[in-house]
Amino acid sequence: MNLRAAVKYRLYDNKKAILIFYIVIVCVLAFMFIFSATKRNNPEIQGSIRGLELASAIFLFVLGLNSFKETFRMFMQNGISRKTMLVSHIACTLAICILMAFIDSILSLLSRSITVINSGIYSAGIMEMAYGRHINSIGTFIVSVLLCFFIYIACTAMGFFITTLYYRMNRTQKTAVSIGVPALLFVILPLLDAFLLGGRFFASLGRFIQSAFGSPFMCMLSCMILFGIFTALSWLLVRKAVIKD
Amino acid sequence: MKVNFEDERPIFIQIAEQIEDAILSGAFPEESQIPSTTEISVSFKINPATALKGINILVDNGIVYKKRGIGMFVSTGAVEILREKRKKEFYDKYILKLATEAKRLNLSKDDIIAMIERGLEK
Amino acid sequence: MSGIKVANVSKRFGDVKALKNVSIEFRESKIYGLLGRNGAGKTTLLNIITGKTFADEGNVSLDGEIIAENDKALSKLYMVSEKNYYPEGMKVSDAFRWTKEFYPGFDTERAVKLSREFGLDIESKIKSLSTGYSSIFKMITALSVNVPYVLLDEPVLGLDANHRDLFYRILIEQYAENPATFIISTHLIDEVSAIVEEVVIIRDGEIIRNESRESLLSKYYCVSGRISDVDGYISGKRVLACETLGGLKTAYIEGIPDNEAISSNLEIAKIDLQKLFIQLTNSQGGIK
Repeated sequence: MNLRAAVKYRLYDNKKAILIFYIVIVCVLAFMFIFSATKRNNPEIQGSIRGLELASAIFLFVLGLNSFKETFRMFMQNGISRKTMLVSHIACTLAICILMAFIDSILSLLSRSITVINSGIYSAGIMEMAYGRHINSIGTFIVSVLLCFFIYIACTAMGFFITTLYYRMNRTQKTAVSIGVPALLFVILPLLDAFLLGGRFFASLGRFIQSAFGSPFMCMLSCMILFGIFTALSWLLVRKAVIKD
Repeated sequence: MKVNFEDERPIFIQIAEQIEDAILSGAFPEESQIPSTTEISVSFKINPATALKGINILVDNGIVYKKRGIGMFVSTGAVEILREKRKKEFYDKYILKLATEAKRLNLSKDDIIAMIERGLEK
Repeated sequence: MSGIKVANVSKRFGDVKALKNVSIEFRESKIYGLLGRNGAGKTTLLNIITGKTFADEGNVSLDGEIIAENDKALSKLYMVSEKNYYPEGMKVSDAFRWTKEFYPGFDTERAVKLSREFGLDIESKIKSLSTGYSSIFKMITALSVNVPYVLLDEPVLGLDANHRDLFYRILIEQYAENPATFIISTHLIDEVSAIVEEVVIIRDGEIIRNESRESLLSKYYCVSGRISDVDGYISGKRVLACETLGGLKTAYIEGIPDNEAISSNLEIAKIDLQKLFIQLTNSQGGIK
């Protein structure tokens, strides 16, 4: 069936990037291990491995950014409807993200053992960093995997949304958004907030983000909602997308 | 084997005629197989439906017939049928034209006969 | 019920109306020549049929179902355009492999064999092919895909005479053995004239002729001779255009020869498709 071929193609298309990503990650980890092993008796050397999952999240965001234009053209050439194109994107995203969430949680676990090699160095995954919890049971491992999964799908969906938005926009709109959105977020809003609202807007925004991402469970829920919103918006953009030559 | 676009007559008729010529000249003997519609259309670079139309004229006139599963064959007696047909057309096709042109050139009857004799000797 | 049916399709790009209320049917298993000058609307029409872009009004159906967003209908359709829609870095062999995935009826063996015949290196990257070999690659794909409706937009762009000849032969052979609908949009009218069964002429976004080649050509003829003789003959007739060379004049006329009015000084001949097309689509008048 068409959908199967579409998903197969997407996975094939992304395979290389994912492989390279993990080769780099594994090399970095291997380096850290070897480095800490050679310095094990030197108390001056301290370090940490953190943010493995963050790297994956950023990678997936960029993957999302690259999942439209070329693929759209390939699919149009091969008789795939836009609907099937989007569904295949969702399926592919879910598959890749669960796989990476799983791999990353294992890598995170493994890299904790670096402390065994050299007590001056420790490793912290997202669970430790954000929520101060350790993966010390099957339960927490599953939570870690799920947490990563939802964060990853949200990041991928955001990347995909941004690229479809830019595809649909003409030059003027692109300039307006590229300059306007950052200006709004980082300059205009903060200024308005500081002068007119006495900083209350950003304070309450901070509190909102605190509660939305405060616990692993809330984080998962928020990410799921973000994934839904970005994907829905992407569909609205994709369904009217035309081939531009 | 080429199709003449300038020619008045539709392509399928030209095809039929060229096959008839080949039969008359002995290039396609009676009871031998003639090229398939596909081969003809590829060779002339024409639409197969056109080639088929041309062949069907020959079938209708009894010049060729179809052997199921094998192909098209020249009918026995095709040469005779064609000769008769062409004899009937000879006057309209050649003689009338000859007469018109001869008049245009002011050739006398004797001039024409002399030329015909010369031509027949070749 | 079967065939591609374009119903009242209109499309504009900014101020320009590329297609004006176009309705046409492409029946199954026929070879169509889609003829039109640059900018007449041929590619836009083909792009709308394949869903690459949307019509402002009207719709297109294939075998009775609307094509738009319809995977089943789309799987019966294949188009090659002037543009390349394959990803950066994809090789010809990869493209064949993926075409097979999306179109299970794709005959990979045949594609490889044709590539050899044309001298196309299937390990080369698509982006690095010359215009000619890019056309050859696309054309091989189209002739191996085995779907009922194949759209070819300028299929012989950049091909030398030998390759064009080979292309036409392969196309005819393919069509003879596996009849399908082929819609060929091309500027090389002379070359495809005998190959197409049906002729569709687009002019300024409107379809001005849609009939069999034979029927179309039977409606026109040209008359040549001395200027005075020709002028005498053509009075009262629907004249498309005239050409003069010294004392000789040729007039292109719509209708059938008036045998009574023909004097022996006048020569009558058929107009070939390309000449007829030119006369019908010239910007200076010509009867529509």
